[in-house]
Amino acid sequence: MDTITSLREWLDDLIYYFAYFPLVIQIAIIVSVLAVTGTIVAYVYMILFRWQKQRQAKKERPLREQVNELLLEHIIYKSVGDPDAPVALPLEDFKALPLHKKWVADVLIDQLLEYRNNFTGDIPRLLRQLYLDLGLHHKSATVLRSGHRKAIINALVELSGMGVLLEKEHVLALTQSRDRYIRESACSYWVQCSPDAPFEFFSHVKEPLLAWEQFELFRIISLRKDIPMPSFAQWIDPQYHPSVISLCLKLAAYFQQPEAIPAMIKMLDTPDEQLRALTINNLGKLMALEVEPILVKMYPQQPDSCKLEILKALGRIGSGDFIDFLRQELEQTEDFLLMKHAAHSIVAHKALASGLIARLQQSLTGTRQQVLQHSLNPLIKY
Amino acid sequence: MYSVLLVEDDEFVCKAIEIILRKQDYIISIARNGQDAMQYLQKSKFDLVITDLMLPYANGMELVSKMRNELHLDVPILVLSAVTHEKTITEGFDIGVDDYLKKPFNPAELSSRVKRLIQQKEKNHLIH
Repeated sequence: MDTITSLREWLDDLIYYFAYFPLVIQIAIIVSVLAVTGTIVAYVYMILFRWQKQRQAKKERPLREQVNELLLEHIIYKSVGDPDAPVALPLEDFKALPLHKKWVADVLIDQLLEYRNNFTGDIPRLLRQLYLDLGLHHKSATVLRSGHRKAIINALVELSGMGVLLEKEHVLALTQSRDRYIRESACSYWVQCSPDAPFEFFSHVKEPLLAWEQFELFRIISLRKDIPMPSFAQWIDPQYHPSVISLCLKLAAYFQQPEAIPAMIKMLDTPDEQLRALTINNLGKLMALEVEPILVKMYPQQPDSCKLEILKALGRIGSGDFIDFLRQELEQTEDFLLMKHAAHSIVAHKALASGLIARLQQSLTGTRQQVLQHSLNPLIKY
Repeated sequence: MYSVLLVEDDEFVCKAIEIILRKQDYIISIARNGQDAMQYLQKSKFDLVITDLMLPYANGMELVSKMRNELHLDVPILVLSAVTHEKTITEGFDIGVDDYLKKPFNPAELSSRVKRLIQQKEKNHLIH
């Protein structure tokens, strides 16, 4: 009681004298009060959030165990026995679950996704079939047309994880959404699930595909083994968005599509320096022999980033026809990076360059010789 | 009945492998990290060790190395990991890993590999 009274008196004093404090002290008190209140609110929020999560986990635990047992018993374990014997889906056992309750359906979907991510073989297909047979996809299909951003993204992630393509036209429209996150999820979903035209949206991209999106799309495309890859040259055209061209340049090189070389050569005239550098880089990866004289001819007018890529590309193509050009660059350039890459590219010519390397070791001095020696070290990655 | 030590920190994978192998009459012990695994290995004998590479405290490579060089165990080791880096896999074989299975995995494949490794171990024991 005494403590409460004295605290009250202290607060009364503080309020009474507050007006008489210097301005700096008044500001300090306000800032301190705000900081303490903010910290308390944050902690209370964290405690409540964790408590709610824990309560939810406790509620879901028995159901998760039940679902685990059903999946392991009827699908996973049966597929171990005789891989060729057809596995009958235990629909009745799953229908016995109260799937009309949202949280039950969510737990089941969550488990199905987890199993699909962790197992290969016939299991992902069986789990997808179970998902469809139980009608768990209906909710996501409805949500796709709702206006709730978070719900749409979650539905796209769920359907993509289950490998189910629904609402084709609508999803294709979502790949043009003004919301970056919806657009990103829809693109990934479309590329991952579309059976016949996963790259259709490339032609309609108006907003840039960010570096991370390109990385993710590249990963998904490189993992798709169920469809033949189209010729990515069709999108290596200035009429398409530069980020689409950039992604397709990388894909054409990754899938070793030499038919993309003519389209790539046309791209060398682009005023976009970054795109030009990327084009040169990928021409090198495709070992486009016919491009060597073009690269050498354009070299003097190029900015440093493109010059660097030209030197790298000449090393990758390695025909030996322009080894003298590389030597000249190594001997004359004052730019350290260009010097380094000229040396690397000479060394990359291997047997074709052995005589030249021996001569250069004798004739070069100082930094240039050190750079050449460095490039000859096989432990240093090119 | 053959005994298998499973070293895995992912609860889901643990549970799945446990059920798959238990149904096939293997006795399964589970260690959640490299340190626990070492304790198990010092106390009991196993016919096979299945281990992940990314483990807390002591990773899978350290565990394999300790098993071969400190405990001098000749138990077959199957690595089950999402690591696909070629160099890491080769290093694993160099220090004594017997087989490697990539995550996500096919349970039927895991089952056959486990069976093969144990049979191979038995054969080697008969020869020596």
